[in-house]
Amino acid sequence: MIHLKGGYLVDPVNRLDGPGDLWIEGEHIVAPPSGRLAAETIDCSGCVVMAGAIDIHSHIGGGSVNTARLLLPEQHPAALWRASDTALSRIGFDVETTGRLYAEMGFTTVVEPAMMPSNGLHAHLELADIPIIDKGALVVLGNEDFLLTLLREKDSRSAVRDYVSYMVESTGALGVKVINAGASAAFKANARTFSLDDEVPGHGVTSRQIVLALQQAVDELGIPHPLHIHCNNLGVPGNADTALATMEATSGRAAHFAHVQFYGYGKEGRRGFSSAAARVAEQVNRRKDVTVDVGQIMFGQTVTISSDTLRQFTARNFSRPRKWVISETDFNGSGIVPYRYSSSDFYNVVQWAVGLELFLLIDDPWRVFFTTDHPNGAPFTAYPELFALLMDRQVRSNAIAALPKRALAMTGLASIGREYTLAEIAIMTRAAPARLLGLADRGHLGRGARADIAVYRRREDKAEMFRHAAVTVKGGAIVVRDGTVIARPEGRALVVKPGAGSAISRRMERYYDTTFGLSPRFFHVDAAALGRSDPFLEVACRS
Amino acid sequence: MAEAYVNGQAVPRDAAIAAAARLLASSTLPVIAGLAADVAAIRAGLRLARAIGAVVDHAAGAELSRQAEVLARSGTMATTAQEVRQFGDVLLLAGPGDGDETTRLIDYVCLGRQKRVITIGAAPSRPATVSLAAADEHAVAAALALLRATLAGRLAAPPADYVEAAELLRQARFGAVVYSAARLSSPALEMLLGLAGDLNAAHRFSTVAVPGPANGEAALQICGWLFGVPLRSRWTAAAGAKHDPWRYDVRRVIGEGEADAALWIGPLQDPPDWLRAVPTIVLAGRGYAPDTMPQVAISVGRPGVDHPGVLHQLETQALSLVPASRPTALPSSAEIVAAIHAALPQSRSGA
Repeated sequence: MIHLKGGYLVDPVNRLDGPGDLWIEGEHIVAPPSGRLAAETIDCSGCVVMAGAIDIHSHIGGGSVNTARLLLPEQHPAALWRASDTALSRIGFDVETTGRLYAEMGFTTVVEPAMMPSNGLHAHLELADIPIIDKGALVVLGNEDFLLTLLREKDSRSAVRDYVSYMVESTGALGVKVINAGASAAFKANARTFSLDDEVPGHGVTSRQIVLALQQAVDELGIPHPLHIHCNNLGVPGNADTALATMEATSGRAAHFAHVQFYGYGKEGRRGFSSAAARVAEQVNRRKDVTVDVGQIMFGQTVTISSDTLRQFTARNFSRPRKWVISETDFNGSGIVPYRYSSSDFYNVVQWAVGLELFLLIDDPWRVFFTTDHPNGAPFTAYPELFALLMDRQVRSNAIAALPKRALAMTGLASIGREYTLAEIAIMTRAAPARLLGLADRGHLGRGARADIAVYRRREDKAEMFRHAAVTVKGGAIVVRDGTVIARPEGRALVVKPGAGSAISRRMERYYDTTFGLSPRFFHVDAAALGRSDPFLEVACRS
Repeated sequence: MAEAYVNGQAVPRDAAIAAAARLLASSTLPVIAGLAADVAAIRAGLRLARAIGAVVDHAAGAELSRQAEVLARSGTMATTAQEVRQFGDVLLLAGPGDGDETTRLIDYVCLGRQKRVITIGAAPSRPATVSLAAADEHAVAAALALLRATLAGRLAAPPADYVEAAELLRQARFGAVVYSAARLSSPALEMLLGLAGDLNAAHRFSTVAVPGPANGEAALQICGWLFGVPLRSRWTAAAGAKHDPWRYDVRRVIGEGEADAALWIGPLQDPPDWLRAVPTIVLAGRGYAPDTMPQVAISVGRPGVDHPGVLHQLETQALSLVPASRPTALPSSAEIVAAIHAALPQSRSGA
């Protein structure tokens, strides 16, 4: 038994916001023992104690991430002169470092948001090799010929549902993501722009129809995490209209909108690029069935990784360094484009401000999540700096003062005085993500919860406070002490099993045979292939 | 061969594992080569390499390295064999277009939709709509450059067959180049990827690479995620991962006397003779029968035959679990590598 003694507990789920103790037995948080002493007591005085943090959207493993590693060997710390001065030196590009860096910041669960259905086993192999943290993956659907044909032929609702269930189970997914629905298929037919009501050439269905069908299927299957939507027109000036139209279209059922910063743009000003964060935030505040993550950008070198092939094809012209990979795989595609966000670039500064505005203008911390869309906006290691920008007005105004005024004038950031509280941080990084993903066993400090715990030494400098946890506990094991990893247990992959029927299995078998000349087992993620004794942890679906 | 040998004598497997661990533990600079095995064995091999600071390379290291270098220099436009088979209408075959894997890939791709085919430097026996002659890999690079210049309208009087080929490429709805990095020079590879990039401005055009043999593509990918860099690299606790395609070419490392022990992980390919210049541990299939046995040799099963294993698939360019076609009790390479790792003294095991 471990005793965390004398810390300041912050747990919005159990309404804890004050001094208190925690006891850990095995993998769980337990009631205070009577007449027993803990084997180990950790002095937490002067520390804030929260549940382990959960990142709902971070590209940490899978074919595309790995292609980025191979595309950019010169960005690896070992290859860089003065590596410690560059953003990518902290990116954690190999799986071992990824797990360690997350744990050192007190994160214990991370979701890879873009597992391609043709590459599920590869994604899971990488995730299995990331130590310490638990992982989950969202399978990307919405461009497959099979699905588009079901929709065009107005096959029954249950057929679409069965198909989604089949794909989720076959790939070992925690949920479903749709990325610029239909655009990868349209791109293959040479489309170079694609919006909500555009039809996928040769398929007779619109992006809107795909999104709605998937949203409905995910909801009806009882998958806890609502459809995770990457809208059309990412990065395009004026695209706030697209995000708002998609929120309008999906209203009535829960929907999660990914990295909305990249959709927070208007077309005002001499350069035709401005912040529309206030309009987006206002809509989010009004629509209670909407959740969003921000996808904050931070200045520096990074690499963008996206299954939005069409968007990445356009972005290739802005690659820095000047090289890119566009791949069009079965069912889908992806684009890897290195990019450097510059604090002197008008557009990048507007993007930076849009992200912060969204954080500060969305009222309900249960519905807005911390992401940098790692590594698209910035490496996940930028979170501590981001927390500081939001928790400390002074840090923010110092940052603003160093940026070009002309760009900031196209945003409303300077006029916002809000500061995040510790409780709000705890909601946004712990309680709300657990609720969003259906993980009742974590995100809080109640009895019976999984002992995933982060202890931070209180400091004036919030970035410093959150960068190195004093202690991180994962599944009851102390994995970090004083900001350094001391143990590296294996994490598991969180999966849902909505129950795919045998009828759809037979149908998929026939489909794969006629289209690919292959058996569906080529795409199946089998636990036996992962080389771990117990690789999956099932998350219950809603009944 | 029997299940295990030490210095040419048949021994119980555990004795061979212990001898292998002793050899690696006493080494100043070991190499872990081959990696011609399933995903589990490659992961185990790279984990072991990380623990003991071994240089890692693959049996097809030269080819994989060339592919990785071109990728890191210029990026690529890529697709899968399956996509091309199903939807492609024009095929450009760059290079000789023979060899087991290449032939199998081209045959698979040609199974689907009817395609018009342009060949550059292919054997005359391969049927083609337009065939551009090129005697060797340098001529293929030159031919690709000429074709690219023709497409871009940079030539005053392009040769007639190049005009015809360029026209075919322009008319393609979905064209693709199929090529093998093993058979093309780096300039040819770069020219080819540039050509695909140019054509994409107007319509869909992509490339399919013949995957490296002996599960090489999987080895490259796994090195990517475990080390963060391509193969031909070394991980040390002090410096992290270092990747250098010249410095960590295992043949050079051994040839110049830098290494003092080698572990060859098969069984998808047997070790070359030059490896044996240093004391060597070989994990190979039962058919392995060299003139003189290496210091340590251990028989292992074949993935997808003796035991299930994850292998890179040509058709989907992805990793899949292949069930055992004729299961036997032979251990997998992964089990042996893990056993050697576990038998290392604590100071070298990284535990």
